[in-house]
Amino acid sequence: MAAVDAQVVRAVLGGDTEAFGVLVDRYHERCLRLALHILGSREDAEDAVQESFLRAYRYLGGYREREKFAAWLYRILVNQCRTMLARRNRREVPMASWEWDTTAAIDVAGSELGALRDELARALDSLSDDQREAVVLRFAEELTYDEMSAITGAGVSALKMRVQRACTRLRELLLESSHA
Amino acid sequence: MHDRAGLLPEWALAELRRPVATSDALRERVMARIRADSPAAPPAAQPAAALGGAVVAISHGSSAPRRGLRYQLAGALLALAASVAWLAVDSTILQSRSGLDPARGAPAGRMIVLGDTVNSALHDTLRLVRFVFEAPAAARVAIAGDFNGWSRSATPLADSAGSGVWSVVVALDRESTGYAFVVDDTQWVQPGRMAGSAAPARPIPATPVGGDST
Repeated sequence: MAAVDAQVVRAVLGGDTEAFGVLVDRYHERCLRLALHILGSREDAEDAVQESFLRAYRYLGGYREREKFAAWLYRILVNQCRTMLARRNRREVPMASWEWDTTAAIDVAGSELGALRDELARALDSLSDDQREAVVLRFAEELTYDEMSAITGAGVSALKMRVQRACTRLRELLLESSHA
Repeated sequence: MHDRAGLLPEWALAELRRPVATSDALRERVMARIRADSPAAPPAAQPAAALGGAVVAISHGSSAPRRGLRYQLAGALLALAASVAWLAVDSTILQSRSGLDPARGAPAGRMIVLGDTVNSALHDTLRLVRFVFEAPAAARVAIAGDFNGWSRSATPLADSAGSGVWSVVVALDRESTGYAFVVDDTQWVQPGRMAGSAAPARPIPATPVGGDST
């Protein structure tokens, strides 16, 4: 039976650095997906994931077992993504074209699904950072609004509004794209 | 899940949830950084975290560099109000670290007080203090104390670099003795007493310490 996160955390704090690899194995794929959706760049997403795990390790003593480790880690990751987006905005460099995963087992290049994927990427890119973050946490990570609130620091009502507006905008953009 | 239906097309939802390909290389890069960050000795286990696991250090501006103390207040003159009075102050830094740093094995609750070296005649009236709090997972951090009526929102710290290190500079009078950090509006972390103050930490009134406050 796999050790629960809290047991792994205790092992790491007890001096077993390699035990942290269990948490990396367990969560790095989900973290990468979240960062990729928020940042739109594979390279930036991998940087954000690396930095977030490092911070999680450094501040592991601040993790409290009454909270889900995944939620705590997500909060660090979301903060890291916000930092990277803010730096990007300060440099006034337009967000790079979205780099969706092209190494998946299914090659969708040139397929209808590939075209839809591009449409969705462009539509997400057009959202505000807050809206994109909210819609990704809600639908990609399937978190509850309470969980989202704990991660983002925003209130539940505000998050519901963000998601609703983001979805409205996404539907409009996807509809426009399908009629183009 | 009630808001999912109809908000986005099913194909879009499926696309958002589609797993992304990862590689062993990413995992290894992460672990290589973790190992490089690890001390030779195993990290100490987290001590009892009666105050939310806070580790506190109060240090002098000229202390040797070490992680978390990079945000030092360089120097010394503060223009105060319209009186054109200049207050020479020392770079006193109050630093709180949220949680044990496993890489450093730092003991929680440690507090080092190095006295001020202020030479100004106004030295006994006011001093400039920089509060620093490391909390990469926090959305908001504020400082509350007798200097602001223990308000949990009046004196927010800023993470201007986006590095997870929150700070604010506050001009305090010499009578200020008690303070606490407020993380995400609910978690109170009371490090101890003010640097240079002989008075003990003042209990936080009417609010729980180290737990959620609703």
